[in-house]
Amino acid sequence: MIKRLLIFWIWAGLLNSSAIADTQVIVHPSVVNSSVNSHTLSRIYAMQLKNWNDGQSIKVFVLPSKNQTHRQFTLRKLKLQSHQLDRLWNRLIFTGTGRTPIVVKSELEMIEKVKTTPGGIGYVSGGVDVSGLKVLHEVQSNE
Amino acid sequence: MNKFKITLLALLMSCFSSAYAIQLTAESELHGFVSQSFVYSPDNAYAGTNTNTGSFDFREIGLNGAWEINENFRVTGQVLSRKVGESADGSLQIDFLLMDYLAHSTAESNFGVRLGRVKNAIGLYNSTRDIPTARPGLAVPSSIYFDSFRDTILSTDGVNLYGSYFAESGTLSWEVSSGVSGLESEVMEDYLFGTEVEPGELDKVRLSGLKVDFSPNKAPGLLMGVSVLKVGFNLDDAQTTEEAYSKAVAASGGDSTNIGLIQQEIYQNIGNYVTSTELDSLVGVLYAQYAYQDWVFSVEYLNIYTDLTIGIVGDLVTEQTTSEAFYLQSEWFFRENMSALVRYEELYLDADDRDGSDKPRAADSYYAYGKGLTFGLSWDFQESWRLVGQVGINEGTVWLPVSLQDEQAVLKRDWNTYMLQLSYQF
Repeated sequence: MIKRLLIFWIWAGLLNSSAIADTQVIVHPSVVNSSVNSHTLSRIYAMQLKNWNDGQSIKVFVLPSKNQTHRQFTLRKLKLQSHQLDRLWNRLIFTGTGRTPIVVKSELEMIEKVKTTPGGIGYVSGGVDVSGLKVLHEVQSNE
Repeated sequence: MNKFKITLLALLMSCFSSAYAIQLTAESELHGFVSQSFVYSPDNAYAGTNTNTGSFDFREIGLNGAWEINENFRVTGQVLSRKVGESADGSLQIDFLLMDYLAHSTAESNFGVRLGRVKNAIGLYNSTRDIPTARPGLAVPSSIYFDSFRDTILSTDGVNLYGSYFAESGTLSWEVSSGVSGLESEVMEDYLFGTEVEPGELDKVRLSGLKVDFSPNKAPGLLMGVSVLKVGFNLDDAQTTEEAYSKAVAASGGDSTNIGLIQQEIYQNIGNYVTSTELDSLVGVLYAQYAYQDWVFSVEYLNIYTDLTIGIVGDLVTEQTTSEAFYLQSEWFFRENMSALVRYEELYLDADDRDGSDKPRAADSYYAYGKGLTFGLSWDFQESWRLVGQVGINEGTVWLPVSLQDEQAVLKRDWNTYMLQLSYQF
């Protein structure tokens, strides 16, 4: 009984620890980039940077703003708060100066969309099966 | 539009399944927002005397459509209705309507052209001042984005070129625009001369703008920028010097030899003898914003240099004025769906006459400046919904929106405002 509780406790603790639940950045296999740093990622998600290194258009997918995986992604990978992104996207829509990411309803839909959209980029929680997709590795910028 | 209609509209909107947009076709979508505010301004009437006891006469409704014709070509537009007490009547305006062509786009840089009505990117908030969720707190800082002439510099009908450059050190973004904007002639004539000018019409305003901002890769939460806008307008179809003089002679009794009486008539009723008006103004805003963890710090400085030349019966009088303003603001996002705001700001209409004592006004002794401390609290209590409360502690009436009706009311130097705003966005 105690062993089970202990295992449960560790499992719950691991779930909460962001080290294990870290999000994975996924892209369509045709994307030429194999790694990306956080400020490039944030330029992509701010809809400023629109092309991969070979000129292919980037198609950006996101989960809803209140989604936990989305919040993890923005905090850990973009080093931004999700409200900052929301404000940025609101500005694009309501000043007519740009298009915003396509919102998908679930991680399953995210995988489906990124798999079938050339140039597509998205994210899912760690541990999710991402076969058929390319995972972008994070590099630290030389700061 | 009464309160019932607003509530109904909001309820209807909340029934749409997607909280993000109404997808019309695969390439087009609809967005919108509604806001309803309560304004209590016990000391000075805020856009109308109803606010002395509290008024609900403040709402905004916006509807936005975007159509992506292909990867590089978009058409988008937005209509807006603003009811601001007695200062704005809620009539539908075209907020923006543009075609956007992305001419060049690579991983190093991009560049595009927009044609039509495009919002002017002045400072941090001009282009989003009417969007409830894009504002800090309830309303944009009054010191920089004051209400007078907001419609004149809100957008440009013309050409807009934009681009970004992704350098090693950071991202540089720029925008250049040129075109015209509409002007409510009677309002401007009243502001400049104290009366309407007959004959003569202040018609179109010429606008040219430039904006450059930079966000360094070493500090991606930092944004620094400068925007400059050149504004110019003239009086069209004004009377000639001869016509004005004849009018002055007739009005002073008909004796063309009594120069003293004629001159007195002219001085006392300048608005009737305007033969020309030329205004050239340069608006400059320096801004910086730093986002760090749960905090966003913003600071802006405004400088407006105006050269106004008025002809009274052919005699030219020129006046140069420099207006200055700044604010310091911090926002704290202490919860996932809540934030608090504190802001201090100042505005001086004439940097050389900061208390307005050079040109006193009868009922409004403190018209030339403003100082304010603002506290706000935002709560996104539901998906797509936001409730914001704001308290403003002000000194000086420069940014008090005054409706034309209560122009003669004696205004107090110290005045507070208490506002609450409910908004919905899809």
